[in-house]
Amino acid sequence: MHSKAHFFKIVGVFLFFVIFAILSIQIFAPTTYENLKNRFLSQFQPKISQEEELVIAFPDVIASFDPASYKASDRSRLVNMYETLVRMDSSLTLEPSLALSWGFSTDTVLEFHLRPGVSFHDGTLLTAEDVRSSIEYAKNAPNSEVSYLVSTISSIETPDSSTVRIITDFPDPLLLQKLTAIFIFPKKNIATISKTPVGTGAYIWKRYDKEKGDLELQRFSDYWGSSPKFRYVVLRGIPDREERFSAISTGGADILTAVPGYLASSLSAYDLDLKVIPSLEVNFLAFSFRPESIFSKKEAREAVLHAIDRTELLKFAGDSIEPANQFVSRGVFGYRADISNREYDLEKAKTLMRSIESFVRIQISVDLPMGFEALGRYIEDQLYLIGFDPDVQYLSVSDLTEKVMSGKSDFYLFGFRSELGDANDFFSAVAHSRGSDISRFGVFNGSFYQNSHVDELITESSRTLDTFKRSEKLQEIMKILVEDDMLGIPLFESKVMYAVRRGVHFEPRVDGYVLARDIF
Amino acid sequence: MIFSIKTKLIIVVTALVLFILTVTASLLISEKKMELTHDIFLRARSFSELTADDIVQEYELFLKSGGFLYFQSRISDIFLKNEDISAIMIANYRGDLLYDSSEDKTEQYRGDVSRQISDSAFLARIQSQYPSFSIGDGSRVMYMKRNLDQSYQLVDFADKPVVYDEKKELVRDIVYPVQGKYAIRYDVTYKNLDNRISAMTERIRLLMLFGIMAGLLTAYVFSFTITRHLGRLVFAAQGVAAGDFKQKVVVKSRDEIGILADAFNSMAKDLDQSTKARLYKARMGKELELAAQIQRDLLPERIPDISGLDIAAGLIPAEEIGGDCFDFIHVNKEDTILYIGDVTGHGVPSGLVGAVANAIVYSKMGSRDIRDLLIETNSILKMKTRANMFLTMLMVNWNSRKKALTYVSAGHERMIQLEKKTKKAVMLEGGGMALGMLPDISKLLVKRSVALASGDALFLYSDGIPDARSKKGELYGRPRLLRSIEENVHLGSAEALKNAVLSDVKEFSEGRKIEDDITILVLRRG
Repeated sequence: MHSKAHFFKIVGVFLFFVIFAILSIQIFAPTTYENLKNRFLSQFQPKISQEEELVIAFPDVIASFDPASYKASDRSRLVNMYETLVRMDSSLTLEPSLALSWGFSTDTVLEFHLRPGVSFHDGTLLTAEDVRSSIEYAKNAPNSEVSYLVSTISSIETPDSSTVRIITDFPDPLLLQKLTAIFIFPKKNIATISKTPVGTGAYIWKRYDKEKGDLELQRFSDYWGSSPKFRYVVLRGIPDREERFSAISTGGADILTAVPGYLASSLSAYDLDLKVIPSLEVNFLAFSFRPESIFSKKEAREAVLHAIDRTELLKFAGDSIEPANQFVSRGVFGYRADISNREYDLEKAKTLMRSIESFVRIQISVDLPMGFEALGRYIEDQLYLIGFDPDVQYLSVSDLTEKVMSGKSDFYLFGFRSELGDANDFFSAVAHSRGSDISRFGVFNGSFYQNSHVDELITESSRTLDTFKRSEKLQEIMKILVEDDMLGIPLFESKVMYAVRRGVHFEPRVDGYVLARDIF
Repeated sequence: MIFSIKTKLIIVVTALVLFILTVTASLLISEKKMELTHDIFLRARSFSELTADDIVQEYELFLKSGGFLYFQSRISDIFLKNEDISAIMIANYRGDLLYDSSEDKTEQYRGDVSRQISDSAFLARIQSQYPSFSIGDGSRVMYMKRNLDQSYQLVDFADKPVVYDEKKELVRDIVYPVQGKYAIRYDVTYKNLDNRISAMTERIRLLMLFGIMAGLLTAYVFSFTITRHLGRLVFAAQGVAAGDFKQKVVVKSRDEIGILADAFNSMAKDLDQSTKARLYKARMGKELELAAQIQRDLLPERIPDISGLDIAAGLIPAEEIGGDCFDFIHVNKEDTILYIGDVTGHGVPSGLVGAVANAIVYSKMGSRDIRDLLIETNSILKMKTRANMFLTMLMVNWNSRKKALTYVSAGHERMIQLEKKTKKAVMLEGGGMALGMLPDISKLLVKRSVALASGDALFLYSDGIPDARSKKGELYGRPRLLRSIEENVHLGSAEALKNAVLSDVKEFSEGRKIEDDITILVLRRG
């Protein structure tokens, strides 16, 4: 008994001193205590399972791996593998990424200091030369869809391996925002980069299953930032929305982007949470301004404007859309609150059409992306009513883009996401005339629209540092495009709805990107 | 149930530490909370002053024309500058709510009808010239009127001064009118205050726990230094109680414990010595008792029958061992020697000398002459005893045939003769020299005869009788002795006479302790 009591006494004394020592460290050396505690606890942290995988379902398949692609469907994937000099947080506030700091030496010289020790997926270290090469690729590559974003850059200097100096022709108020769209890759990979992504992002390209539409990514072990939770990420393209919903409802996906509106209320039955965020995307019907197209005539455009009842459109997508009256969504800088649209007036539409052609139905090609069949049918009906003979086609995004940009479509549905939060983005890409140097403006001007005054305003707004003046110019452009020239028919701005499996923590971004590194 | 000093000390110290820390912590937290609350208000007020114009500018630049994203980005930046502001609202002078950061998180308000502020009090604040803040549940509003010296005076809606006790009520929000067209409302949150107080409370709890443990440890160590020594003292005291007086406690501390330990060691040593002394005394007592018994054995067991004499004897020693002695020695059929002796002092030394004298007298009694006997006895005693030890003796020889009595006095008390006829007590000649003083006292001893008639009595006594004192210190004296003897002349036996004298002495002494042996021999001629 005595020895037992003695033993307990010794244990008690030992525990007393251990607790006392721990308390002393915690009180008088809290930093040391935290370090020791974290080191101790990390031994008991559950190791992330080798098999832990995140599957994200998209409404489309990736068309291109090119870092200079600006299609939303492509960038939604690429953004997990590539990074930019600066990036936007979820509320579009600029924050450091590959560049640790930056500043304007003059109005036209923007200098970046790179983050040290950043590795590409192939193990090479990021240098200033890689940045210069990437920006030049974005500007000069034949298929670059982001060239207009960097069109103001005249030269790039790399005084040392960690400093990049960007010189612009003139002050560019949106340069930093534009650079958030320019992916950085190794200079030595420039020849193959359009096929095989190599970036600095949290995930490495593993393989692409074209048949399934699965882009498989693997966590990058040398990522400079905090290691993401999921070891594997599958970005799955499922254009068919029923199939898409089936994937997530049966556990085949963890996150579903673009939830069909009519399914939103059913999610909870499948242990799915609904997350909604306004998108910056406006979908509109665009007219072809090619001389051979009927829509080069203002009357024809106006007739169609009067023939489309926007309120009818709400029925197709339920609560997930808001009617749009201009080409950028509310919240984007340059949005004009006092824009007026043509009212629905079928008779007036017919009258206008009769002034063009009274006897023969005018054949036009109408092209919409797959999945917009209901809308397509409505448009088809309305066009028919006013004297058109529409040939409606439902195409994949890549096919649609190709047809539109080659000038083969009279009337098409187009969506543009102003992910920079500035209407100048849309104007530069879509409204500015294509001209001879497509790399600067009009890269998405599938309408072949031209207006020198608009071009002038766009150029001026690109160079004006005075925010008030810029706002005025942008709003003036919008008025011309919507009211005067009727570039197209703004239809709706959508809310993006996500279905998220319970237990997965995901917060939608206003720019619509799904960043796997931020999901846990 | 026994609580050791250690336990009591630990409990007391712990309770004291806990009490002090609790009180201190409560006061500290309370003061810190007030201080932080005040700081939050000041920061919020300054923040509103600095940012209100900027917010309006951003509104007019971006939000008014629909640039929600840019505006939201700017507002996010502004929020980052003050973490105590939880929400911002923008209203125009008419009371239209233009922006509410808590509602308009991802998109601008899109309702067909503008949001109207229905709260009249809030509207009054928007339309006021002065910034204002609400406190408590928001019902009480105070306006901040700027003085010339740029300080603020608090007034109510009617511009009357008011008093604000910031310790009692928290500021809920601040409304800052701008340019007479807009007003910005900043909602104040105390989440950070709560977090900081929680963190502080947590830290104080840890400190309290630390303090208690430190107190426990200190109390334990401190009490250990005391109880360790006390424990030794207890152990030693238990040893002493069990009879081990060799216990010694080594305590080097220079305090009361050390003094106690020294006193204990001294006490143990004294106890050891006193116990030894007691034991010795007891042993000595036993030996004295034995010696007294031996001495009593040396005295005649009974009064011998001597023809013609009625003898009584009594000896009352002052201590266990007396210095007086007497004896009766039948020399032959006719002669009997009786003697009384008194050794100087009393106690064991005197008793020993008395015993030696007794033995010498016995050994030399072959010489019938009592004078020669005494001379021989003297010479031996002189050789065998210490210089300051001597013996007075009165030796009597009675010849029962001749009915003749002779005596020799060796410095002893003078014999008293009680004549029946005259009823007078007379002191007979004494003299001589005490035995043991000089080697040869032959020239000093004189043998005398006494004519003893029938009925006469002779009293041989030691000086213990005449030297007896009363309680008052009065001496009994020889005259009184003579008187006492004369008064009892009527008594018919030697025993009665002896008792009468002894009674008289006892009565005179009044119970006072005798200081010298009392011996009396009464010889009555029959």
